[in-house]
Amino acid sequence: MSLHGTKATFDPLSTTGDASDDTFTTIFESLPTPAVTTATTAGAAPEYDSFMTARSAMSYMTASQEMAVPGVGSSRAEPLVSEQPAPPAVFSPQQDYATPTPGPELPLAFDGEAAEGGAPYKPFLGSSQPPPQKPQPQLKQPLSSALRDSSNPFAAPAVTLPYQQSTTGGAVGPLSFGEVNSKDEAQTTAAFSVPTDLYEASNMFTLPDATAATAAAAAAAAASLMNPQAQALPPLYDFTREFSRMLPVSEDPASPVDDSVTAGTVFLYDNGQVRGGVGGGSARSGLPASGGTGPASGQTDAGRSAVPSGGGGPMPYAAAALLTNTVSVHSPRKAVAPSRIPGLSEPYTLYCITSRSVIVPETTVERRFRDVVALAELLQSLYPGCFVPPRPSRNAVEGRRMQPSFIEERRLGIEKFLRRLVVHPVLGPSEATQVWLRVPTADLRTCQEWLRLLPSAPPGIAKSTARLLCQVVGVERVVPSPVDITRPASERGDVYRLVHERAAQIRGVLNKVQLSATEERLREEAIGLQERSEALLGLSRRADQLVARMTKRSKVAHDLGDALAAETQVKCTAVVIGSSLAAALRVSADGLGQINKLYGIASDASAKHLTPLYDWLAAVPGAVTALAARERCLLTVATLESDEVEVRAKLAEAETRLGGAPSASATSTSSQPTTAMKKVEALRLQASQLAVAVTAARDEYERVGARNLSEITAFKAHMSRELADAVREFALVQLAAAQKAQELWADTAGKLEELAAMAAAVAVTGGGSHPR
Amino acid sequence: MDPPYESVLQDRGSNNFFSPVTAVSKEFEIEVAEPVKQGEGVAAYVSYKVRTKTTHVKYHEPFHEVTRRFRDFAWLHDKLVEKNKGHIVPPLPEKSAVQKYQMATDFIEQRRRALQVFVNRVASHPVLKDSSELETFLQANEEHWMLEIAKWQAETSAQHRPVSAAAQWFKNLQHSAQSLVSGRADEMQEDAEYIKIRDYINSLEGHLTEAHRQAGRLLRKEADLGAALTEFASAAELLGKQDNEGPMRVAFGCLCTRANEVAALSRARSEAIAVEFAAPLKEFARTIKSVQVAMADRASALSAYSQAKSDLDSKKVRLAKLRGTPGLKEDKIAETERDVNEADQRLRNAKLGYETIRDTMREELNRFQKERAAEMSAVLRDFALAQARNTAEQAKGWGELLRDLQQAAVGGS
Repeated sequence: MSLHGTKATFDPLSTTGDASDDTFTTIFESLPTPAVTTATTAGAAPEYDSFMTARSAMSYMTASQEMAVPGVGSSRAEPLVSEQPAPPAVFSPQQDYATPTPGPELPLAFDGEAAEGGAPYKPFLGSSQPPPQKPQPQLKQPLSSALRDSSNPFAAPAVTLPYQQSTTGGAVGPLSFGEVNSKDEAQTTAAFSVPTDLYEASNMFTLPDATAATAAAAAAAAASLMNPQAQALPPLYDFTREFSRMLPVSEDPASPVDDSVTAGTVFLYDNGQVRGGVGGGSARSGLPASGGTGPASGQTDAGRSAVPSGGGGPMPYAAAALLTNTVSVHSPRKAVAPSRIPGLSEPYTLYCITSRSVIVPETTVERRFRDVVALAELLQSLYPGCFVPPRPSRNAVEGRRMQPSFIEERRLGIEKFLRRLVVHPVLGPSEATQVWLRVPTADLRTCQEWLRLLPSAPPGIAKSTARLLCQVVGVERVVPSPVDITRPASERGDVYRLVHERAAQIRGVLNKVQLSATEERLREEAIGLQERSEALLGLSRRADQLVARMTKRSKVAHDLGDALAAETQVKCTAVVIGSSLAAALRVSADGLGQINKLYGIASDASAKHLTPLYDWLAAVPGAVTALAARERCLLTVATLESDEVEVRAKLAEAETRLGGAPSASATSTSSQPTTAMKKVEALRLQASQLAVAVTAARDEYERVGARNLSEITAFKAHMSRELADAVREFALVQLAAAQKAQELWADTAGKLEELAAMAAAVAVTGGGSHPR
Repeated sequence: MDPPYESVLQDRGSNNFFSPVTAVSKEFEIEVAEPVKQGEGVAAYVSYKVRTKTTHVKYHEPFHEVTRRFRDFAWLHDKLVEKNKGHIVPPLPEKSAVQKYQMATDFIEQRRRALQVFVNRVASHPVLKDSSELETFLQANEEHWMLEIAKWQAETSAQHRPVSAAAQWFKNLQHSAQSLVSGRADEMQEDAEYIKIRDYINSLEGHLTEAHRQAGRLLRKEADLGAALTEFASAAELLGKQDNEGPMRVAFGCLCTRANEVAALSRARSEAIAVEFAAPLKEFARTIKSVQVAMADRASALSAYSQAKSDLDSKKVRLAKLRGTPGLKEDKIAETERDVNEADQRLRNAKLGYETIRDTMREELNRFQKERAAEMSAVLRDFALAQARNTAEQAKGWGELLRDLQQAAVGGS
């Protein structure tokens, strides 16, 4: 296991109270200066964010020796420091492309280590060069095969682009990373502090320009070229994880396709960044950049055109990632719109939404919360069976809506939603999402591209009623057209079918249907999902409680510190209880104060790392809705089938009756069809209509079912991985906190010891005051 | 005077607050052990074995073992307070009526420890260790002891007789009225430094009580946290069981195991806080109360002194008046003169009493400061050390969790 273990020690927690009057904050700020500047330039990041991330905790752990994870860390450290060549003054990508050194994946490994025990994070490395540490057999083909399998003719070139680039990029990014590391210790920490800042990914994206500055501050000028990479590539804790985890809806969730794609896209992204940021003069422009745009744009078209037609099969994953691979929501601003009630105005908040990707230039649009809701609803209706990620909830207390805290909360919620959305293989590249993200029309409700996508709104009550009457009377067709069938009856305003289906459901139509294996499995999955969500609910409650208790503990530690300090605050303390005891009390109180701060920070960090629990809990309803969509389709199918059977029976009956008395009627009706004949004709027509409808409905059902299946598999896999990650990060925080606490206590104990020794010395010499 | 609690300073590695106290005195080693519940219901009490190992000259044998109950410790305490005005008599643990009836095991254990601390403190006190009361307490046999207790109970009930109490109260009232009229409080005769100290000690008591309360809260919170962690872990395991393929199952399984370990540590830790920190803090707070008792003695001695003084003054004035009035009987004047002399004598006694107490207290406060400073420092240090150890163990637990997770990840990939 190759944790990044340069003794350089990114050890933000370690610089404890050498200076006795150090406040805790300064301790935490006492990272090497570049890191500090990073933190400050990144804006609102509270200082503990920049250190108390899992990542830094991890490096902390490694740095602070064996006790935590024996055997980790030290072995891998030396090659990095010693064997790497001194960094070239000006960074030249080609050179690094050409010479993949054995250690290039080290920083990656650090990341991969953190994420997944290493392997899945470096699929490209695995495929491009002999894996130095671990066999990664299954990693070699997934991306390419997955993409080649796709029918998209453009896919293959589009694939090779990320593939190659990432191969090189995979070597370059980490390598340059390593070089930065090897420069000196301060830089190591600086380089590693970048990802920790990215913990607040939003911060990074709110100040896209600042990131460059930050990065520049963090590393030397030579390295600055690589910074986008450095940011995009390694940990990106929250963001990368979300990003990568959400990617795959592969048929085989166990295969690390997603990760490989992630890696590819990350590199692509970084490459695009470099191209955009540094410009044509960059050493890279000669490389794949020119080749990149062509196929990639082809990919875009393909992706777009593929979406409306092929709802069923998952899109090539690269398409999802290529179209948009990052979104950030930032700079909320207030706006006022006329209210529905004339004469009043209604304030609302606009959020800037910036999406970046390789092939489409960075775009920023302004959307309001209403639009987010609209997008989620549209996606739900356009792609039934897909798990639409959870969006922030709508209910806002009127008075609270304009408060900054609420806006920030909502901004984060929107960002989370969009980030999960854009990496979704179906929903991400869907036209709806892309229009929403890219078309800059200010008001979505007047945006033509958007309006075009909207399904025809359900007709009003009057219209539905009229239609129902017609259907009952028999003027209008009762059997839905194959096009209609893809939408639920409630949305079509087809009251007749709606009632009919409900009635059929009550009659027990579903029981008669022969359930397919997929359906059986999905039903099991649905039950499993329910159980899972209950367990998740229980767990998140416990997590709440845990965090609350942690906070409480820190508060009590603080109170105790205060109580101890209070004794020393009265005058002539020294006279009564002795100056040494007074000092000891003060030291203890200080120690407790620091502990309290530490515990407070630890509980905040724990809370932060437990948020995936809540996220996944929030994602459950979306999944349930999607599963329900399938059930609804099944109901439609079943109803139509039973209708068809019924009609066919009637038809057969009518035909036999017709055939039973052919002689009597044959002559008389030869010129003019009898009513019976008419009826048979009508039944025949209806039967054929029904047959078509059944086929369409079945297709739709199967499509939705397939989506359900891949979605639930992905859902489970991602949840599993993300929560496993969360556990690890939680453990890292606990570990860091415990170690830090131990340090603080030991420190306090040491000081007390000194004081005691001093007091003893004084006692021996016979000093001391004499109270009367 | 023995250097008190020197071993506290020397015995660095020791983490046990109580062991230094036991080992301190060279002359005495007293152990309070074997709490046994006696009787039933309201009359139930707990008896302890008090075992003494001594080299003190007054004791004929080096080993003694007697059976004593809380009331008997109270006897020792009250007697010592009564006989040694101005000395800081070590405090007894609180009488807790509620807990007494519950007779919970941990309460008894707590009290046993506190009693042991008490009796050892008495035995290491430079003056009290020589007292006959301690001697009686430590070696009197059953009969003798019952006699003593009976006598004491008779005395206390006599003291509490309403008449004498009322008389005392009336006397005090008279005095305070006098000082009110003369506009001269007793306090004015005290030196400023002492008053400052007295006020400080009064506030210190509050602070210490608060500190003790907070320590108790910290203890409870640690326990709560442990419980919450356990619950969290088991909930996590429950969720993990839902997961068949992914890494979550393993991760949550590991989490459950390790978190339970950490929680157990946390529980142990809260107990450690109780023993090593909260109890000594509490004892410290109680000792401050003893100091206050001593201060009250001093105040009453002072009050007696000034009472005597004003008495003498008034008598002298009367004598002068009598002398100044012609044609008065000689014997009347002689009588008054006798009165004056008596008052003078009383004044001298009161003054002596006050000054003795004052000197004693000076010494006592000095001793108290030295002794307690070292001890409390040690307690604080031990607390910090214990916490450091515990957090280190926790860190280890979490570190192992991480290792487990990593291994699981490796195994899975």
